[in-house]
Amino acid sequence: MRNFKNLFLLIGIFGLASGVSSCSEGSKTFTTNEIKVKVATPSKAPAVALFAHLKEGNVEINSAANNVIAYLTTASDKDMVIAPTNAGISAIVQRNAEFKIAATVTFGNFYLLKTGKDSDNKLSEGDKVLAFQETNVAGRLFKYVYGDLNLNTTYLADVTAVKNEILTNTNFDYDYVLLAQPDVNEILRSQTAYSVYANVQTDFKAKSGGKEITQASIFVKNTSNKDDVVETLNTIKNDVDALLDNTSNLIEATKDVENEVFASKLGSTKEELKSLLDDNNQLGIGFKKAKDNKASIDEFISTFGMGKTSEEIYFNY
Amino acid sequence: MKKFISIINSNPFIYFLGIAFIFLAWYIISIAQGYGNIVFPTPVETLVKTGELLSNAYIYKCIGWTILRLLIGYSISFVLAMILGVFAGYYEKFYTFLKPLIIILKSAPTAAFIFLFLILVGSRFASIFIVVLVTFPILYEAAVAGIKNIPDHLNEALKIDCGNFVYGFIKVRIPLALPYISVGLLSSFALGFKTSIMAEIISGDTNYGLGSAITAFRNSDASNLSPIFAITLIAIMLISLVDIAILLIKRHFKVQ
Repeated sequence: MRNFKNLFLLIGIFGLASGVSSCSEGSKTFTTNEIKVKVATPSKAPAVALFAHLKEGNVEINSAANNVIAYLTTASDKDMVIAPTNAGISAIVQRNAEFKIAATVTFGNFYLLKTGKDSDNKLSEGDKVLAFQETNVAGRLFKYVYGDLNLNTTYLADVTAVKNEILTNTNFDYDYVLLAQPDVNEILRSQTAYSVYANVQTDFKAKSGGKEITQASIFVKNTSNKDDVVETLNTIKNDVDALLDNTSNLIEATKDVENEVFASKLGSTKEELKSLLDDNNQLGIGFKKAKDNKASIDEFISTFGMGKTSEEIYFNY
Repeated sequence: MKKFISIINSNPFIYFLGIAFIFLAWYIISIAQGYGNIVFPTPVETLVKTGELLSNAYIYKCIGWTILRLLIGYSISFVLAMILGVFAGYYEKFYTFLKPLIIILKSAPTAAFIFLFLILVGSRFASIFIVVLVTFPILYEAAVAGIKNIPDHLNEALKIDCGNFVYGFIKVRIPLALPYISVGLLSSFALGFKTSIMAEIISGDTNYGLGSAITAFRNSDASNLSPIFAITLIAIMLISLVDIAILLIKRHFKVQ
């Protein structure tokens, strides 16, 4: 009888412990701090770092990247600007922008697709390639990685133009196309003959000896309150880490944001963005202190013909 | 037969024919280019999408925000235009003094100012000031025209019979200028509305607004233009309501 009593006691304790444990698992929700400083970022991939702050008044997500870059060199009230790394460093070095580079938040989302028209299925001399942004990030990276293959490359203005060319040109005869996520997935869904030929990020790493594409970075104003800025950088880092750790946090943190507003700010629907992050982080989201990643930043800006950066432009925290 | 001829000669019927012609031309162009939603959606696809959008709360928030910003900008513009326009209508020298400023405001490219307001007030409110910039010259000139078109004999009579300048101004001159001001007010409203949407797109605002909605749908799927056509159609419908109001006011004041 006494043994039965002990057995029931044990079962009771075990049941209680499991209940408490499952309760704490179930209530593990995503939390973050409100951003105190004024932040501006271009929409789409760079804005993903701010996924948990889409409705906050201090956060401006602008669909025109040039508008955001302009905040670096004008007397705006922004304490923190997320901008293409090359444009931000250029603003600091060439136009004396009162900012320092603090961290990189996007590491490239470019992919080379084969169209099924190349007979040897190997990117080689003379192959026809359709790319975009000849003098901007995509085009510069493409030339850096594949420039010595003597390809027959045509550049269009932007990724949408490439996509529309694929969808509307009945005489489309390119062997390969350069695209960026999430457009890659959209094209793969509609063009069954297409497949991913190369991940430009991986090829960049191979070519540069392990360096990364430091596509967009956070720049902080020299005159802003350093404690607030550091707190915000830590908040963004924690958010990004939490997102990459569990992509369901994207849905949890944005449950009050309508899909249309979400798409306007982050470039695609919640489900699509989540699936891209789940699929080996195809948007290239991350958070790395710029100072610790100087070699990659120098390599990336070298594709724009810029020299090595000085230690002075890095934000210490 | 007479009744039939009178129907097809009537303005409402010809107006309806004009609308039918637009839809027919739209349909033919859409079919001829052959890429459907990627380049030029058909009227049917656009109408279906419009129905979908109108059943979504998001689009009403966008309409509301665009109209709110428009009304704020418009109110600022109206107050400024009435004060300055009435004075300029009454004092020729003041009118001449303001002329260079009005010419600049009328001819300077609006888009160039968007970047200025973007820095000054941010993307969310830049469109308010663009509305002021675009509508102020129209409202100002309407006010000036209203005051200037008061017949001389009435001005003379007022000088003789009405000792109180302010009383004469409020009770006689302003009511006489009202038809011009009303038409200017409503005509510039449509322009302000269009400009507000354009400013939302250029300023890159990603919150609520019809311009922001266009950006949102373009970001979701840049190769499907049917939501953008649908938003355009919604904007046209809203402007048409304003046009009807203009028509009614013109009839009320018997203005050509």
